[in-house]
Amino acid sequence: MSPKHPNCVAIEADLVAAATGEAAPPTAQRVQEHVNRCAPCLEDFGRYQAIEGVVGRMRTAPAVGGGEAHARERLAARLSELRRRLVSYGIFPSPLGHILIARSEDGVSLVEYLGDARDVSASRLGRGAGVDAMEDAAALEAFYRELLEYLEGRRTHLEWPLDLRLARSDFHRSVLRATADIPYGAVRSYAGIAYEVGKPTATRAVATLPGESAYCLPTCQWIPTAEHPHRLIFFGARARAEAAGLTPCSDCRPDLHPLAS
Amino acid sequence: MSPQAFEALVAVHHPEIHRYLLRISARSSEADDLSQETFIRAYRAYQALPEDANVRAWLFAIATNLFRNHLRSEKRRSTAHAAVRATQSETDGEGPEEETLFKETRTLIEDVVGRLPFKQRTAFTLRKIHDLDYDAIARTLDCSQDSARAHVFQALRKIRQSLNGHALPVTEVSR
Repeated sequence: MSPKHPNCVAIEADLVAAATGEAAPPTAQRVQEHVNRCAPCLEDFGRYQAIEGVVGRMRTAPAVGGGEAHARERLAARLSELRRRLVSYGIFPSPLGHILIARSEDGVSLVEYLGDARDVSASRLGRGAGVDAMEDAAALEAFYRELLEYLEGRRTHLEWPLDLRLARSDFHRSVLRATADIPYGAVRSYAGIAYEVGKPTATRAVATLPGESAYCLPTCQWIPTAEHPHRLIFFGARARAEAAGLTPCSDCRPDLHPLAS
Repeated sequence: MSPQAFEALVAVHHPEIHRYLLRISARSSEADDLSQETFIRAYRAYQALPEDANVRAWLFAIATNLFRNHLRSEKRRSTAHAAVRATQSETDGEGPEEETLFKETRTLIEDVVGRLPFKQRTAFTLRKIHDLDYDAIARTLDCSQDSARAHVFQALRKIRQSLNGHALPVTEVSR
């Protein structure tokens, strides 16, 4: 096989582009003039056109293998599971130190004071069982602005959708809902809220809940450290703690966390 | 983008992304897994996507990157293609002569494409099968548009060389 003429080598890329319909008109014209006087390139031109024709039919032909519908069903199940546990968060400066705001698809699920810390590892989210935390400060920006306005007294109500699944128990959720309904500037007693949520003897639990109260078992890995992430109340027996309306610390009993079920 | 909007996005783009992954991976189970992972990653990232972004090109880029990573971790490309081609040649039935010629040529082309280097294979598939523009292909492959064109050109050149001596169906150029 004799080597190609240099002119043919030089024009090959343009020839392919022209044969497959991708060349600009001046290039296509130049290629046409070349193939009119070069039989080997004319043959190549025709074969590239034929290949382009087959490839064009491949665009509409189904790919070998199929099974797209089944794959999409599995994807839908995975997306549903992901949505259930996905929480977006942002960490923002505030007069009270750094604040983490987190939300799920259903609403705001956590506002947490981090103090000097600026990392999610300092937050409940960093340790939460079953939670898939994803930083997305832009998505939380509007909530942050409203919270600042609230802290500065320029806003008296936060009309946020709430997702209370991160609360430790139904009792905690009911207390949070009751406290969220207290009007700006109004005062309610702990006993009143305890009565409102149907646990009139749980005044102490209501009082400590806003500070993330939870009882720890002696096996809790956090106990030896000086700084426990929650405000703890220690009970010698689990039954007594639960009778007081408290629930296990999610660090020593992650299996009891609502998102773990 | 709301969950409903993302579901609509899945409905529109999943079939094509799945076909693309099926074409470049040639293994149904890999295409299933990679297409799922493509949309899971998309779901995590779509909030940060600019409103004027080309969603289709973005999804192709995610799928291509996942496939590239998959190739790096798996060394079974050749056997996968061999298995699929063998299956296909068994299931292709007889038909009119032109149709048979088309199927034969298609099988040969897919076989060549399956053995191309990663960039040539994906650039060819994205451009010629899925009709992405060179700007999107260049972004996907992290190269210049000229390089993307060169990858497609090299792929076509190898396909043409591999089909030397093989009769080709007479077709009109569709572009």
